[in-house]
This record gives sequence, structure tokens and C-alpha cells, in this order.
Amino acid sequence: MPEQSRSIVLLTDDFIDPATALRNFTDASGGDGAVVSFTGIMRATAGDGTPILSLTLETYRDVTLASMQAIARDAHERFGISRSAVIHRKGKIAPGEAIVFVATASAHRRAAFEAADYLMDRLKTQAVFWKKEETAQGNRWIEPTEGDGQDLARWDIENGKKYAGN
Amino acid sequence: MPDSSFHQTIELCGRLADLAGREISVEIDAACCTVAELKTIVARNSSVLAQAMANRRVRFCVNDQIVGEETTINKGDRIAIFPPVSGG
Repeated sequence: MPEQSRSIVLLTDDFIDPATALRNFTDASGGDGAVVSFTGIMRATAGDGTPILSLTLETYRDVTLASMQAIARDAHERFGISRSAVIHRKGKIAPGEAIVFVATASAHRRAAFEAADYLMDRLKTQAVFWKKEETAQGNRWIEPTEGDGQDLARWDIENGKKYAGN
Repeated sequence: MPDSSFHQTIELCGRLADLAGREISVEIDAACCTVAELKTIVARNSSVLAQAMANRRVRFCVNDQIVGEETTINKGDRIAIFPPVSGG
């Protein structure tokens, strides 16, 4: 499937270097007029101001990667973008490190912007990860917020429900 | 244990593992069993999991596929319970 071959989806224990990832993605541009990227970085404090020592991202077998691939496939189908990259960390992450890098390329900017936005909304709520924050007061599991649910609802998604649970 | 029943191991992910351990084992009837019925059996065995599974975003994963409650369980299936997921 040509669309699949133009989508790079990676799950990694290694440090993500967003600048290098973006340069590689842009260098591979085959005549596209627009490249959009997003980097999600681990914050040093929780919503309530508590300092976070580290974040652990748990995954499950091949199911996590499959969920990321399904989301990328849907983005290609929905927005007609020509390429995408979705790189996600797993394991233990320190504040300031990149958790996720998403890039999209298309002939014109609108599709690239929207596809990147869509990818992130679905990754936040439907990719198979479990996040645990470690703080001096103890550990706590982080689940999608009401805001994340509202962000997802903007896309009126019918497909991909099997990863949603909502 | 009657011949028609078997032990089924179930992996617990995320916060469910903190609540009840990395895996649990339940006895199920071979003539049974859908995911919905398995859920009832798990709930009967563990009140903390019963409470956690009341969240409608908790899903079952059978042989690496996230499935609905109507899915049939067979002996030898690899089963996991997923609490609400969150990436990014």
C-alpha cells in the first residue's frame, strides 16, 4: 500500500532528537509544499504544580505500535497528506525530554496542519500507552483529560473506535 | 475442576497491575465464554477490578486485538485488560 510506505511509525526506548527527526523528514520532501511538525515534551511539573521526577510510558506487546499505525493510516486517508512520521517514546522519560514527535507533509499547508493536529489528538486518547508520573509524593497514573476528549470530539471520528473506548 | 473448565491467565496493564498484580488467573467454563461473561467472572473474583472495570473505557485485548464484549474466549487465548489509554 503506497500510503503505508510513506508513513514512518516508530516506538523507541531511545532519546528522540526532534531537530534531527524534522531535518530528516524535510530532506525527504518529494516536492511537497508544506511540512508541519509537533514535539511533545515532558513537563517538569504536574497540573497542580507538583514537580515530576520522571514519567514511565507502559506499552503492550505489538498492540501499541499497531494502534499508532492505525492512527497514521487514518490521517493519510482523511487528509490526503503525502507523508507522515510518528515517533513515540516508551519506558522511563526525564523532564525536558521529547515524548512524541509528529510530522506531516502535503502539497499545501492546510492538510499538513490538520493532519498533525488530528494525529496528536488521537495519540493522546487512543494510542495504547499508560503513563505514570513519579513524584516525591508517590506515583500516579495519568489518563486522558476532559479537554483531551473535547479535542478528539472535534474530529467526529467514526473509524478507529476500536482504540477509543469512547 | 470439571473437565469442561480451564484456568485462564489474564494480564493486567497500567494501573490495573498496581491494583491487583501483573496477572490473575480465573477458572472459566469451556462452554462459556464471551468477554462480557469473563468480565463478570473477573469482577466476582476481585472487587478492586470490579470497581476499575466499571469505567466504560476499560477494554479487553484478546490475542493482541482490542475486542468488544461479544467476542468469544477460547482456551489458549492471550488476554489482557487495558485501563483507559493515553499517549502523547
